[in-house]
Amino acid sequence: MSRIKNAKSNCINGNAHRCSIYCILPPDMVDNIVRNGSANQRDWALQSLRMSEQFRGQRQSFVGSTTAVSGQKNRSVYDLKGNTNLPGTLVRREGQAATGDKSVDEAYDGSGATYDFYRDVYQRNSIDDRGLPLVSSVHYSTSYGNAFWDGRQMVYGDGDNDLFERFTISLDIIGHELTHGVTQYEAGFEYYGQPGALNESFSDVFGSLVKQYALKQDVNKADWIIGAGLLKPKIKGVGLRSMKAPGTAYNDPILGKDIQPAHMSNYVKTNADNGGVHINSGIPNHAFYLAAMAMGGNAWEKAGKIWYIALRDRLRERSNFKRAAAATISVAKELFGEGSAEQIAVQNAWQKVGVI
Amino acid sequence: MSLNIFHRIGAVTLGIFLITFGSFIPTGAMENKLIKVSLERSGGFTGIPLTTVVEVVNLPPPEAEQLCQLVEAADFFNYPALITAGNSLPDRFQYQIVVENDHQKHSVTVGEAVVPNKLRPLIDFVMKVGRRQ
Ligand SMILES: [Zn+2]
Repeated sequence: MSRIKNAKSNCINGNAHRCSIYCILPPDMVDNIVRNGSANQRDWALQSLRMSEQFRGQRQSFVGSTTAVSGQKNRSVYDLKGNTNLPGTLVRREGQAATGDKSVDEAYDGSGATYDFYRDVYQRNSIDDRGLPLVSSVHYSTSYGNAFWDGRQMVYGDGDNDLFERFTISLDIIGHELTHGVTQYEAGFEYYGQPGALNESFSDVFGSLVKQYALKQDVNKADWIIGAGLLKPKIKGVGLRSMKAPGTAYNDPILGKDIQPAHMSNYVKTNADNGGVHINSGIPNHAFYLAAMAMGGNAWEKAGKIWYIALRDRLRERSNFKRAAAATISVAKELFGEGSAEQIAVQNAWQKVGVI
Repeated sequence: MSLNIFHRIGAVTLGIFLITFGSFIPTGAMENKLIKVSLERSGGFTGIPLTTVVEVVNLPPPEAEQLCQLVEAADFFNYPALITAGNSLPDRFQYQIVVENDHQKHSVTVGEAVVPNKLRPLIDFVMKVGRRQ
C-alpha cells in the first residue's frame, strides 16, 4: 500500500517521466504479470521490473569487473511501409540474408555493430545488459525526417525529399538511438534541460564511438561528425553536429545554421526542443572530444570507458553538466590513478568548455 | 489514504479547468475572426527547428475557410498551454502552435507522440501550407 502511494506521488510531482510504467504499476502487480501474463505482457513487465531495479540501485560495480558476456545477438527488422503502427511486418530476423532494401539491411547491420561494440568493448550484454532483443522498424510514416528510440525499439524515417536521406544511412545515428536505450536502463537522464542535453550527448558520444570502432579509426582519423551522409548533396553542411567544432556542421539557406555551443558562456536558454537538449549537448560533446584527443589512440578505450562507467554507475535522472564533470573525473582517477594523464585530460576538457 | 490523493487530484484538475475557461472570452466562436496560426517544430534527432506562420489574409478563400474549420474542430482554445505527457521521449518532435484571432491568442506546446487526434489535422495543414509558401 505504501509503495503504491509513493509511486503515485512521484508521478504527480512530475519527477519521474521516464519511469511511467514503474510509477503506474506497483511492483507486486508487475510480478503478477510476469507470472501470469501473456508473452507480450510479460516482456513489457520484465522491462519495467529491470528499470525499477535500477531505481533501487541494485547493480554490480563495473570497475575491475572482467566477466565475459555470454548473451546472444537477437535482431529483427520490421517494415512499416509508410505506416506508424509499430512494429510493422517482420522482414529480417537474426541470421537471415540481406533483403536488398537498404533501410532494412542498414538497420540490421547497424544494430549488430552497436551490439558488438557494447559487448566487445564494455562487456555489456545488449541495451539492458540482459540480452534485450534489438528491434528496428524502418519506413516509418511518409517523408519523415527523423529517427527515435521509443522506449523499447528503434524507429527510422525515410527522410525528407529535399533535406535528408534515409535515417539508417549513418552508423552513428543507429548507435545514437540504441544508446538512448542504454541510458534509459542506466542513468535515466530526464529529457529536459541539462540532464536532457547529457542524454543527447551520451548518445552522440557512443554513436560516434560505435562508428569509430567499426571503422577502426583512432582519434585523429575519426570525423567526430554526427549524421555524416544524412544531408542531401545540395545542402551545405557535413552533417548535423560536430563534436570537434560544435556550431559548424551546417550553414544552409534552407536548413539554417548549426547553433550548437561549445562553451557554457553560449549555453542556449529556450523552451523549444525540451529546453535545447539537441543544442546544448554541444558542450558535453566537445568536452568528450577534448578529453579523447588529449588521451590519443582509440577513443573507445580510455575516454569512452570513463564516460561509459559514469553513465552506468555514477549519473542519475537529475544529473547536470557539473555532476557529469565530477563523475567522469572521479572515474578517471579510479581507473588510471590520482593525477594520471587521463584524469588531467578529463579535468582540462570540462574546464575548457566552461563547466568547471 | 488513496482516496484523499484522488480528491486532491480532482481539486487540482478542477482548478486548472476553471483557470483555462476563466481566460476564455465566451463570445460565439463564429464571431472570432481568425488572424494567423504559427507553428514551431523543434527537437527530433536532427534538432533542426522548422517554423511556419500562416496568415489568413494570404490564403485563398477555400483554404482560409478550411483553416478556420480546423481551428474550431480542434477546440484549440481549450487545450492547456503545455501538454506534458510524452515530453520525455528521446528524439521526438515538439510542437508549439499559436493561434491568434481578434479576441485572443493561445499557445499550445505538445510532444509528437501525444498530439491529440483533434489537433493533428490542424498541424498537418499548417505544415503543408507553410512548406508550400
Ligand atoms: Zn537523441
